[in-house]
Amino acid sequence: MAMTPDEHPVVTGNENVAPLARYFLWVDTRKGVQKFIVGLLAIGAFLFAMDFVWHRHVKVPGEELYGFHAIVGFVSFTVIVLGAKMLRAFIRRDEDFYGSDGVDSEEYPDAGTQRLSHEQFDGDSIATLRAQILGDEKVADQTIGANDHKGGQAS
Amino acid sequence: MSTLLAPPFIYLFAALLCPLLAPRWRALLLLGTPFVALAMLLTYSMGNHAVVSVVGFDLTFVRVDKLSLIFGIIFSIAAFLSGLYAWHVRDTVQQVATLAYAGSAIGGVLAGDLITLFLWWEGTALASVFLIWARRTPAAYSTGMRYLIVQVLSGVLLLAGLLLHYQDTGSIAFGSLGLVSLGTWLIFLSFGIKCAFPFLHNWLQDAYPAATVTGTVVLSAFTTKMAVYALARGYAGTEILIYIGAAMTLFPIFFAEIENDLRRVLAYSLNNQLGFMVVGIGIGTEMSLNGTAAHAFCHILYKSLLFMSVGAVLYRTGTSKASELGGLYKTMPVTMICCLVGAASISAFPLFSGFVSKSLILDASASNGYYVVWMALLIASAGVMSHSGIKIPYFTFFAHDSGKRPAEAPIHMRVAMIITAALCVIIGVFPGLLYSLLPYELVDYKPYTVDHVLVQFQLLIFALLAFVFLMKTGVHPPEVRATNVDTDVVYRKFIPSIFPMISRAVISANKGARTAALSLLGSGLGVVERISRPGAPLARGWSVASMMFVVIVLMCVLLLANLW
Repeated sequence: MAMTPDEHPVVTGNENVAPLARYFLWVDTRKGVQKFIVGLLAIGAFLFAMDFVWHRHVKVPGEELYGFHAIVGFVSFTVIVLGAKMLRAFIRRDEDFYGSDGVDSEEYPDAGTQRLSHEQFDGDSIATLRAQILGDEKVADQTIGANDHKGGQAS
Repeated sequence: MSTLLAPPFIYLFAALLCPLLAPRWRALLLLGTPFVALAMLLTYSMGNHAVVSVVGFDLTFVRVDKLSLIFGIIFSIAAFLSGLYAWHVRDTVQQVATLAYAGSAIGGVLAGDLITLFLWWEGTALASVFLIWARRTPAAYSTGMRYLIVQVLSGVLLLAGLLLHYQDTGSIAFGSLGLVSLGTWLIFLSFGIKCAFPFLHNWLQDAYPAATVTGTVVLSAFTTKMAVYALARGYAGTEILIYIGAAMTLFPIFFAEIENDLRRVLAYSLNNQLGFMVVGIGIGTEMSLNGTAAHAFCHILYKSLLFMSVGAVLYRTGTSKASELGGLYKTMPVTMICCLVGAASISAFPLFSGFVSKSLILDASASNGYYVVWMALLIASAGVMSHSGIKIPYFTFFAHDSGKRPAEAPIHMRVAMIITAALCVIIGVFPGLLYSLLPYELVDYKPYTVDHVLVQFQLLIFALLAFVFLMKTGVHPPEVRATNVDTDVVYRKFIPSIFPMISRAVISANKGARTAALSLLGSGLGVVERISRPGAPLARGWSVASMMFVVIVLMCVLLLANLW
């Protein structure tokens, strides 16, 4: 859903992506995003129109207003985002505001992560997990990362 | 049945056993213990078990009723899922802490009296802090210390409250307490700290993003929900909770919206979800308490799922900051889909778990005439959509392409996420399964009516449209690297900054007082010296007659004084 101002190149399909991700490549195309938005607008229009067709049972005064929930959804979302933007002006500080006292200014340590790229990863399956659980050493080492903490070792 | 076989003790034994085992067996222990403990829990009949008499107090370690049972079950499920998610972890500290922490939390919800509750209450604090320290960085150490101080403060308040309560009533029973005395107020405050009430909340957003990848998943499940349980047990129907809860649903969404660290976004979102539960407790009807229990159940699952998916991203990329992420769907599609399921569940889309639980609380608030609160919850629901429903998946997996192409999460994480996601969908599609576990009978409540589904879709789809509109117009705030200050600025910056000022003032006051005292002493000594040196009045030889005269004058004065 490339809706940010910086537009991206259209994905040609040559890139090495995970098989399952191929179903989602439309989100990076202008056409795909447009279709998505049009679809969303159509659903929205349908839902709004339903209020004129279907008689809702209401518990709260005012709720019977046509499109009450749609309006609340749209307006409160907008107000929240704008309010948050204003709040940011007051509470935003540099990442090292708290210095070494806060985690914002530090990188997550290597230990405890296994930073692999898509290319480096030769895949694992439920069989790998089964082997790990049953203690089949040959297969098991595949995803137990070299970077993990080994029994209390400091990073 | 033996007390030592009570579920919390099974966890503690496993925690003691854990360091002695080989790595693979330790990980297996984490998977197996929840099963054994849950099986044990389910064998109990309703009522009190594992009662131990200590210095005249009957401590009830296992109280089984429908309210404690549902929390016991979901805590066991959460312990298992986080154990599976953390299958790769070989760090003994984290494994022991996880077992002890889960055991303490389950002990807390099964506790039948306030002393037992206090023991487990402190147990969760002590065990869980190691999940933060296990990150092993200076910042994690400081953060863990702050977390521990707040958690122990909550425990101390609970202890003080229970002592006063015992003095007042002569009972340590943990039943309905109500805000009737100083003791019960202190207990309320103690619960409020762990439940992250407004202004007491910031330990949560401070600590959870500082824990390890797997530690945060564990942390998200227990402490706060144990507090929700404790409030539901002790303060159901306390009206002030409705307003506290409504405030809790609203204020975190603004912070979540502009927070860059996605794990902290989720911590704010957790705070907002607790608000819904607290409102349910405050209303205090059977339906609303059912809503609270159901929402806690669903919430633990989808919140774990969201923390798992962001954790998987952190595990593969080394960052959980929105500004550094984007476009990850290309290589982490399974994680992305699980994250979307979690997002849909927390946003309460029909057919996902949040829908069948949140609607109970909203319905209860409308039915009982709390229209303003109902409106606040509705707005908060749109807010949930904004930060957890859209922001988390969108800025991680879509948005602008960060160029990062991390590998998919390892298989055990994927399996843990898929199981959790499946549970979210199963509860959403078959709410009857969850409703049968609720503390009170749910008479004739159907979540899937045309009305419910229609209004929920209207709210969510139009919130989504608002997002599209704000992105298209460029109004939506971009993700930037920053620290946002919250109430923690008071104790992390303000108070430390006034310390030097206070100490300077104390030092100069001390100095001034000493100089003044010394000069006073000096001038006093001068006077004495002056009147007693050779030839001065005191050193002179006086005649007996004049001495007698002075004595007579003094006696006359004394006599006159006696007349009055």
